[in-house]
Amino acid sequence: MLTVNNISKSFDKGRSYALKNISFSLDKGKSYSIVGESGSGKTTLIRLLCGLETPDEGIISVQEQIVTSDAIFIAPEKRKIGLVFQDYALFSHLSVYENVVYGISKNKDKKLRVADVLKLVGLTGFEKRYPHELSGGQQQRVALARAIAPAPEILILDEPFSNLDASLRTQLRNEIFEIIKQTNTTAIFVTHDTDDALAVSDEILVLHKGKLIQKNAAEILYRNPKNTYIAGLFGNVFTLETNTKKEFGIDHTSTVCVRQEHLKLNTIADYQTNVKILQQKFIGTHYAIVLQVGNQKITVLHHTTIEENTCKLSFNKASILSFNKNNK
Amino acid sequence: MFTYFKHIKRDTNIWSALTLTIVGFIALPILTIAIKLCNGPGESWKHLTNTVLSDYITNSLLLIAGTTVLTLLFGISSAWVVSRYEFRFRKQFEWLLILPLAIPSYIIAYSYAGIFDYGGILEKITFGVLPKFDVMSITGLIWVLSISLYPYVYVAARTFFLNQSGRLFEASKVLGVGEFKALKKLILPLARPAIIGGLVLVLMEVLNDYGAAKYYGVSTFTTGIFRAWFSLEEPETAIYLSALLVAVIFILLGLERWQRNKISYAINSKTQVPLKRLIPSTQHKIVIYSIVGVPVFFGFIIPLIQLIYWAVLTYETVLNDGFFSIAIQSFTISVLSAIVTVLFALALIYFTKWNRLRVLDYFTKIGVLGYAIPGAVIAIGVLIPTLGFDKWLISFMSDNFQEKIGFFINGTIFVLVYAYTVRFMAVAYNPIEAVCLKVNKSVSESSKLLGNTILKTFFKIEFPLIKTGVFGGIVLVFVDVMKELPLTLILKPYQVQTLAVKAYEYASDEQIMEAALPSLLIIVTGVLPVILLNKLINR
Repeated sequence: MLTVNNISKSFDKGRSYALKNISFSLDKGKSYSIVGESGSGKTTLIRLLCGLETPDEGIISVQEQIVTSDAIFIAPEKRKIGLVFQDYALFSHLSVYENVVYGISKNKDKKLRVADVLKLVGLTGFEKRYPHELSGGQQQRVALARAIAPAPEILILDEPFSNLDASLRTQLRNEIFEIIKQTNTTAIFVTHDTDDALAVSDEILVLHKGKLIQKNAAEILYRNPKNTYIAGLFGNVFTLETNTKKEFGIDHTSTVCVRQEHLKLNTIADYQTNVKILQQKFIGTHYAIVLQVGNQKITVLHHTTIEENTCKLSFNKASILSFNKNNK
Repeated sequence: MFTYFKHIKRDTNIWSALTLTIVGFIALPILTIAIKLCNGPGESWKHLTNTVLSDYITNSLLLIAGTTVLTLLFGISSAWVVSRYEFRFRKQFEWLLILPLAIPSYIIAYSYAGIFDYGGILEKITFGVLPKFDVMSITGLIWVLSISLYPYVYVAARTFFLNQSGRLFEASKVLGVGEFKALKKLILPLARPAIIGGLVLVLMEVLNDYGAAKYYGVSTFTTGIFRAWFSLEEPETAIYLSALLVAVIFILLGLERWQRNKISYAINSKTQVPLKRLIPSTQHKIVIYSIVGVPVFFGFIIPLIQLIYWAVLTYETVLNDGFFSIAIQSFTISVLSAIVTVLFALALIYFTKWNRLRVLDYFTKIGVLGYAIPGAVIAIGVLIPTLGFDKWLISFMSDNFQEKIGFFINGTIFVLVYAYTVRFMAVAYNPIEAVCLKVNKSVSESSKLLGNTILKTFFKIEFPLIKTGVFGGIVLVFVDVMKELPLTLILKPYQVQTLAVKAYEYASDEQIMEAALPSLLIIVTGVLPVILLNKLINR
């Protein structure tokens, strides 16, 4: 469906690279997320896919047809790639109907198509409103309706939930995912929030400092992250120091990490040791218990407070994430 | 290694070619001057250097020095007072202080000549008690240019004071620093780039002036160019003088850029805090009203009263069919030139954007250089290639078709409009570009991603969002063309007449009173956009 082959892009004549040697391919009808922190190259990558920027090197193909290479450049309007911008980019001087109908080609029954997509996003009856008369969530839906109205082959959503508050975010995230699944469009969500990525994607691409460091299904990324950076993206992870490893009787030379949610208190497991309790703090759903393990401080979430000054910290063998030193 | 030109073929499109064409078209007069310099000066150049050149240099430098001092004095003090103090009629003074900009310098010069003349207003008011002052001298010229051009400094300084100094004052007060020290150590040094930006505009206008200097009999570079072109009939000498003048201007622009780059003037505050205005004491009020009153009174009210007085005396003879015909011609030429200039500015902005060859971005700036180059120089730069083209066409027609034809484009309005476009490109380009930058980039990008061509995106999405700015650009160029004198004098077709040229001709023919009506009409058309400009600043 979409193939990216060895793409690089620099904005300062090659002194540094926003993207370096990126290659991957995406399948039709699946949902993907591109995850990475600010400056990782996410936005540059989608702008290259859309044809809003040109790469310094590499080839991009959509449905076997090259759209960007050293010699070829297909204009954005001919790529059949839709993009929902982070700021929605609604046309403020046009009504909801005019916004949505804008990209529909002449030979289609425009009114019917607009009615269909507005129904899909739950905005039937809003046709005559202007963007400034809508709430943030409604504007988001108009932007989505406008992007899916021309039936693009690929739909990219740039940080689609970043402008929404927490409660609306979860609701809209699920709705949008359902809508896109119904249209059988290949979707790419761009986000820095791994919760969003886990909720909406079949596969996740992790970008770090302009490089693609892992592309896998969400569960594989969680269970078998390629390095400590990726492991840390999906929740709190403790890298055990040499002394701490000794406390647990682990003699691996490789880097050993354990997720916070896999650490147990006063429970029998494969590895365990007695530790000193430094602090206990109520944080809503749980208590955060700060422990001294060797020279290391580790925080564990527990459902109650603990009366004593010490306790038993344990985890199972299956919880261990181990990395070779060169997996950075 | 990073290969900069690797993708020339991929990234070159029709817009790259069109961008280069427009830049070439606009830069042609400037390039012509540069190329012609290689041919060497005319016969009288040596004579000129031995005699009047030192006068040109001395007078131009004196003008620069004098107007710098006076415009800074009037501009900064009035801007500070209206930004910092609350007093009666403050709001009215805020825009009254800009109004002298609506009167071309040469018209202020005519009215001052009348005011100080024997039997003039000054003599009548003071009953001849005051000693006689010869206003038609370099001192008078410095006064006239300063009092008409100080609003450039005023506008720049006031914008800075209103937008930036509130937070700075708060910060310095928390540190226990008093008002005067904060102004001296903090506000003025930080306002320096803005103020010098305004001053550079003043000095470019000073060096561009022909009408006032000619009328007061002060020899400057610009009057010298005219003399070389018309009296000596030596284009080469005129070009050499032009090159010297352009060199002076580029040194000024270079100094401005250098001082701007030396220190970082970026204020690290995202929130703009409005400056709290102080209520002055009665003694302070006298000083404040003097500071704002003097420039308005001498730069706008006095010249206006003089012109109205003359207009009342002469309207019966001046106001005839011929006058209306000139007014209509002036309006038509100005509207046409304004529209053409704005179209070129829009084309340059958007063609550059649509072109993917980013190396061309550097060339775009050449397109807006015209405003830094005096009208007389541009006129010569336009005349040489267009004359060359006409001569080529005449010989081509005669050689190939045995047809005898006259000049095809010279002596037509085309050359005049072309020159206005080159000269006033920046006047349209800068505000329109500012409006275009405000249009969210993602809005036009989403239109393209929805399958629409860049032209449809422009007409359906971008133009509706920038049309107010485009209209503003048309108005600003219109006013500048209405006022323009030196370029029009050289390039206007024989049968065409403008209000500015008519006023100049009356004044040159010792009919100064008759110059009042065309001058007043120019002022009326100039006042409206000045008010518009003031509203834009206040937004």
